[in-house]
Amino acid sequence: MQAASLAARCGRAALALVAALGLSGPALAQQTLNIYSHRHYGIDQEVNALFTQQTGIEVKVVNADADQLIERLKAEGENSPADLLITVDAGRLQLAKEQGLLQPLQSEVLATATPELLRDPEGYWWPFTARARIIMVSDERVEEGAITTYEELADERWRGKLLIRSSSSVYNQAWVSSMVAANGDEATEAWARGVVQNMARPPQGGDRDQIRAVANGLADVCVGNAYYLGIMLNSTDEQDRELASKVRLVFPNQDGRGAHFNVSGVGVTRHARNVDAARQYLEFLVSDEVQQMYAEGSYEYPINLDFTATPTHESWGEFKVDVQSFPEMGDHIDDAISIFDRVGWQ
Amino acid sequence: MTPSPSSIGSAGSNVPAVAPLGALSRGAGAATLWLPALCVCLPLLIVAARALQDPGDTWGRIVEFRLWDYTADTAILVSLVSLLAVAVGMTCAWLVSAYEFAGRRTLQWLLVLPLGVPGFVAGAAYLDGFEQLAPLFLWLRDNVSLDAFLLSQNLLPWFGSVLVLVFTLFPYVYLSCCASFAGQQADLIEAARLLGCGRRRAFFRIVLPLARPAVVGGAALVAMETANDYGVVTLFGINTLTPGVFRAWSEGSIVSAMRLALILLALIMFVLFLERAQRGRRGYAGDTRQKPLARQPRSGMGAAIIWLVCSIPLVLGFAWPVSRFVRWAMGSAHAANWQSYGSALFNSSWLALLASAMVVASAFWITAGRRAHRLPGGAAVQQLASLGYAIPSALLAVGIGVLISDVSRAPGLSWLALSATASGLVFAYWVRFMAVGIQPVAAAQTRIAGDLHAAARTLGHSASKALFRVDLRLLMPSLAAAAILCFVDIFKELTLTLVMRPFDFETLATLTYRLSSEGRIPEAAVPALVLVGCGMVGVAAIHRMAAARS
Repeated sequence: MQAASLAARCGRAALALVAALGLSGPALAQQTLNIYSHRHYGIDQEVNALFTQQTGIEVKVVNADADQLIERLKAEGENSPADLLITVDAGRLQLAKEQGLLQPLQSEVLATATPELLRDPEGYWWPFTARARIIMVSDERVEEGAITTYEELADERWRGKLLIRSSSSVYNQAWVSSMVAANGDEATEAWARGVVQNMARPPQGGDRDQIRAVANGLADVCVGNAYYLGIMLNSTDEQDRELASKVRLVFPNQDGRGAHFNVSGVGVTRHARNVDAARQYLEFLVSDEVQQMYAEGSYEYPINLDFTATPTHESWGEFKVDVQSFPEMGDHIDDAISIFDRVGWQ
Repeated sequence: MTPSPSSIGSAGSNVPAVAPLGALSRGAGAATLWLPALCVCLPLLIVAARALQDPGDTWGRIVEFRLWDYTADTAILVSLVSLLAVAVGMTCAWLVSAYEFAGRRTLQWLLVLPLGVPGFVAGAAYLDGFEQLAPLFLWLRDNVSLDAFLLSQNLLPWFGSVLVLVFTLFPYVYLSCCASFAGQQADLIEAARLLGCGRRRAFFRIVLPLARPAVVGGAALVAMETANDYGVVTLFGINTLTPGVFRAWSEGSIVSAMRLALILLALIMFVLFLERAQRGRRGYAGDTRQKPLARQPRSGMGAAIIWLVCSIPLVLGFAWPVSRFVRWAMGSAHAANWQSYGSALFNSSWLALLASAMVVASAFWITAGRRAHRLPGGAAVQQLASLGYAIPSALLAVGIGVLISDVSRAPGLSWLALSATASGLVFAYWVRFMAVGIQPVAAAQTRIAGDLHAAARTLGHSASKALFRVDLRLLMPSLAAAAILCFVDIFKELTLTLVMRPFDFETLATLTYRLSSEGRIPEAAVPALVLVGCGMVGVAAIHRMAAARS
């Protein structure tokens, strides 16, 4: 008993200290929305500032990888200060839902603004931006139509000409997981083996580094999220703009299931204290004004799939989206990681 | 250079026969002495115990597909980097020790500068620089063969990481060789010369064997730093054990992570064993009448060649990478995010201040306090407390991480899981850098403090009073040096900080690393330069200590 109360006292003292240092600690103000987020873009801060300006509700964000945030939500249980969980991958939200970390939220506004095929049927999480993981080629060295599907990335003709980042990236895990959903485990393993053999160098750096290397001529083809090219094309850095102009987007599998699509989404946590503010925030995220801010700030696609949101998006044109494997993506993450190991995709 | 046994602690013949502390406080004193030493061992014990548990399916997969690569890559990288660092460090040390030429003293301290550049900072500069080599590789592909091109791409990460690690770590070998050359007796060399031995032969037969402990000691430090590196290897995509431990951990298999960490520990122990074994039982103590090495004068062409040779590591390890960052910093004012730089600077500073204060206090207590109060434990405590430096960062991180999550499951302690990560990080720094603090203080203690402390006691001061009025004042310069070295080491520490930091918490090191690894190098330029600037303060401290010693 005594030990427990001493421990509790120490605990309170330490919490006070930590709060004083500004490291974490539960929300003290009434109108505060606490968000755990895997997003790491500058535009998010502007969006949150606008929300505070419009509603008076303060927004506090904790940034980390989705896996870490999910572990943290589990460890904190009902003491968690978080009201919302934001990820950059629907699979992770699905996982959080299955582990009982989220609560459903019904909203007409959200239902109208988001496509039915890209959201959770029960409303445990809602998407607010969309991103395509697609093929990018050298405009100079790869002619139109030379590659049209993800499956062709394993063709021998691309030996020593392909670049993709490491398998530890969430984006690659979700993408290969969708390949497993579409083609099965065995076929995907054989395909991944071919992809690894075609790599011009061992995986290194992020999506932007692959784009730069293709522009520099080191390889002809790479895989990346389209918005990275958008960011580079509109960068304040002249060198980035020049490099990006040498690279062309290819939206794959247009005659089949469509290009791999994922969403950045948000779910209300199970023990959220501020559900009303959370609802306001979610509805605010899908408003036209904020959707335009995202399109211009991070070059993600608006969630209503407006392919003309900016001149950059408009120049990329319309394309078919893979909604077929989308709901299954979360189920095959482990298969994807196991395939990466078997084929030596570092 | 083992510390000589204390003249006060052992006999006590010249110390008044007053019991320094009562029985109870003596017990408490012993506890405070052993506590740091035991804390150092705690993560090790946790990992050793937990590694025996069932690892699940992941371990089988790691053994089948990754373990061999991890171990081989670590062994190859550590051997290559250590050997080359010895070659570079020894050559430079010999040139500035054996020859007199214009600007020798300047060159002597310039060569320590690369130690102030964190590996991952230099790595980011080289990674970007290699992009400019694309035409060369394309020429290979078009004019030689596709296989030659692929080979070059597979070797490039190795080339890059070895280059960066060798030219930022060689000063460890350089510094210990300089100290060793300065302490060698010129008479031995002169005797050899008189007996008909040529200069070159004298170098290989006399100088080198005498410097062997210094060379191997420096090389062991380089090997440990390389094995612990996370930033450079992940930037270049080399799969060594350290990133392997963190990957297994992030995949949710803590037991696999612990097993990999133990394999890394075994590798480091092997390196330390080699270092001890080569020293053997040989004594290297020479004649006490030292006559320093007479430097051969060199001017004109000779001096130019020495400058040229020594400027290669200086340029590769310091001037080139730093000048790249200076250029980025000047051209990227628009990309700078001053708010995030400011909060990262604040975090780096308070973490490093707090942890180095703890280290220095422990170092003082373990070296001087132990003797003043004649506490039980002897030199064993000091050695045990210095062990942290040999424990891989990856193992410390996993061990302390598990310790916190275990403790937080106890009733009433769940707050630990939420908030203790910062304290866990400070604890990890304290364990890891205790040796950095103890070493200079212990060295100074054996040199100066003994007799004066005894004199103060004879004049009637109590042990505590003598400790604070005599030892503390005498040791102040070395305590300050220890504090600076720790502060700088912790300020730029990446491996532990990256995995153990609280959520949404950046230090300058993690911010620089994250921005560089996301391909946003211009934004990383300002924090990188602040890190280098702080590294320079550490270099100045090392230089002053070396100067004071000679």
